[in-house]
Amino acid sequence: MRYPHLLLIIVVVIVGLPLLAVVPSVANFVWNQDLSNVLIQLVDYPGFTTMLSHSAVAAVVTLTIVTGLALVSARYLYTERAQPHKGGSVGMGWMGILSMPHLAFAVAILWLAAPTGWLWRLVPVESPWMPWFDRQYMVSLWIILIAKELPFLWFMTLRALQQLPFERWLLVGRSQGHSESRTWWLVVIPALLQRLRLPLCVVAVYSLTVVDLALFAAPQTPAPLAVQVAQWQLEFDPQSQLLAFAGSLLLLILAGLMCGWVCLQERFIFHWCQRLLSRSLSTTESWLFRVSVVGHYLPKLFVYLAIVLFIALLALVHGHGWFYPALVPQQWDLALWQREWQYVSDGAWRSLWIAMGVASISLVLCVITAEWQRARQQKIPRALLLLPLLVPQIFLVLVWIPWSQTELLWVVWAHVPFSYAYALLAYLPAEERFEQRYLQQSQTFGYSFWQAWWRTKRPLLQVPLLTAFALAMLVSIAQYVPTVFIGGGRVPTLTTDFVALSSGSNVSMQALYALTMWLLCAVVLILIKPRRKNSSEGEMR
Amino acid sequence: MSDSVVLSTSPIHIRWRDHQVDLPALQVNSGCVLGVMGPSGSGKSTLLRWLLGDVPNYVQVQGKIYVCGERVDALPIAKRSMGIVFQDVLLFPHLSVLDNLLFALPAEYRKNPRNDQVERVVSELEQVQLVKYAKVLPTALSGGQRARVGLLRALINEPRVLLLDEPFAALDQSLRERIRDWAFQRCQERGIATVMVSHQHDDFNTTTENQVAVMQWPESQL
Repeated sequence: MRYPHLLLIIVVVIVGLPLLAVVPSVANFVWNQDLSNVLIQLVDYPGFTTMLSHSAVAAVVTLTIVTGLALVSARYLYTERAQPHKGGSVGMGWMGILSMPHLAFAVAILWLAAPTGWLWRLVPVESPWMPWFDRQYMVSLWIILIAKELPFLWFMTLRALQQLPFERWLLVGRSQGHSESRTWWLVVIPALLQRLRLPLCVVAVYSLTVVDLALFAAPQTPAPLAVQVAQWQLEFDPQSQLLAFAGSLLLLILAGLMCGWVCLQERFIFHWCQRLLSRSLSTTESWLFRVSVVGHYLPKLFVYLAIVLFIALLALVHGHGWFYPALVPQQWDLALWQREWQYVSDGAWRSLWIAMGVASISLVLCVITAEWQRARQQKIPRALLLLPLLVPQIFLVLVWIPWSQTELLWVVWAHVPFSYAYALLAYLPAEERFEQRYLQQSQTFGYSFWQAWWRTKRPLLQVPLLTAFALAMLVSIAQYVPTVFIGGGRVPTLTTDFVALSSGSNVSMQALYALTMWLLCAVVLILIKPRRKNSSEGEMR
Repeated sequence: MSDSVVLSTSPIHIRWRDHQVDLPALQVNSGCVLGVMGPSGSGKSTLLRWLLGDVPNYVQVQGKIYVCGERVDALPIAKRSMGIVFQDVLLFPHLSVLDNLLFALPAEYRKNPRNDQVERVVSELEQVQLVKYAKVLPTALSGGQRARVGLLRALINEPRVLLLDEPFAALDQSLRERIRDWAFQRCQERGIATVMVSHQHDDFNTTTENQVAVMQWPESQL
């Protein structure tokens, strides 16, 4: 490849510059403001410790449970359907879950599990669990976060497992007299955890700093810190905006601590596995191994859950005159679609066009990054590439506001760093397994580097390329904080419209937006789904 | 067969980590074969990668490369007029045998109508009795068939120099000899200078009329 550095400059300008903008903004805040006074105001703000604890507990609970569930189900993820060389990156059921926007998931599951929801109508038994789903407690946020982060972590687990020769490790373990599950837990899991470190950090930081989901899932509780930061910023009062920046800086520090927590968790599990290597299992550990069989059913359960949630949304949107405790509505119609289509379709089209632009840019940047690494024969640290996901989004967006204008182009730019990072997560592991000699071979036939790339590498890496494109689109469609703050409310998308509606009590309307978001994401995945059978054969070793 | 020099180099100094290898100036005439023999891991393949224009960045190589008198070491791979066949052949798995060969036709030939291109490829396949496999994906071929298609793909591009990185190592003895002789014969007919690395001396005991010079890989000096 000629001039790799020049190409990398494009990546640095589009993704690196926005991240570098953090430095002057923080420096300005630290030197030009009365820092101690702002911090005192922040700490003295009514309910500060509650906000802080809500954020931290949501992150720790989500991270711990998601890690546990991902690990117990990891062994069963790598089934026939999930192996990329046997027909696709993940099955359609999986794609259904991945395509489900987190807000759509939240609407559907909250309605299902709320005290007047479908579930309790089906099973009319009084339960102490009922009120927990009434958007009054943080528990509903935790559950939604766990349910939404788990499929992402499964996806990353699959990618990580493809890089480990774990089948041979299991064979070696068996030949040495260990059971398969013992070898799995003692040998494969520690190696897998190392590879999941960054995705787990992404989960932790997201759970710590989530805004839109918290606004929707637990609006009647004291807000987590990230939500309060967003509200301060929206107050347009200079003092509140200072508080917002100080709060986002605090979130940045907390995000660092959460990443430390991920490392601690990894070390703890690693040492536990090491200790087990040299002794027989205790009763608790044997029980734990046996219980881990539930992991087998979790992914399937999620596929069924996705189907139920989809049906729930359909029922909510098309049902008319549906009062408690009726199991089905009095009548079905399309009145809501007819009444709202004009508004919904406007947001949907805008979301789609923005997402296509963002995904195209992100994918090009991804390819340039990967080829630069190949040309220089050196790897950019993965943590640096994923920095947009490891820094709280609200903090980055607040930094960008003074540098940007409330126009569509700036919104697209604000989406790109996040979509780029997710696209890299999907593309890089496969690209690194690619046999680059195919490209050299093509070049010996007289093709230029990029001609050879297009004719050889693109078709061979079709699956990861399209997966990365789809993921980048889905990420862009789901963006709330960058769209609402950088767009200044002038670039309404399906997601911003939905969150604006979420404070109301019209569940059918929320369901309509949720269903449209889901359908939009599903259409993206169906259109982009790779069809060629041999497209992943270039991924080697 | 012409005796004109096709590939020549200045003395070559290869250095990586704590190894250094100094090679004399190389010269390969039209239709001739230069065999490079040495143990595995001694840097033979690095020589081929350097000739091709793709040296790993932990290796420093000093030397000049000339193809038909023109200096090529600053040129990109696509302009060096060199073909390569690796040990694992690397046929493109997503393309049929026919498409693999169409892909490798010389740039000027690719401007012709597709029918002409297909005709040319089919005639080449006929010569090696592989025409019935034209529509087949490489995964359906045997090891020997894959090696022949790989060699054919390199030759159909009409390179001036052919680099062979142990392309017969995975084949059994008799098949290896047949395919090697077939490849050498074609190189001689087309006046291609061939550099082949191997760790087996038998690989150079050809019955064809090529002039084969075997260079023993020197020992590392550091």
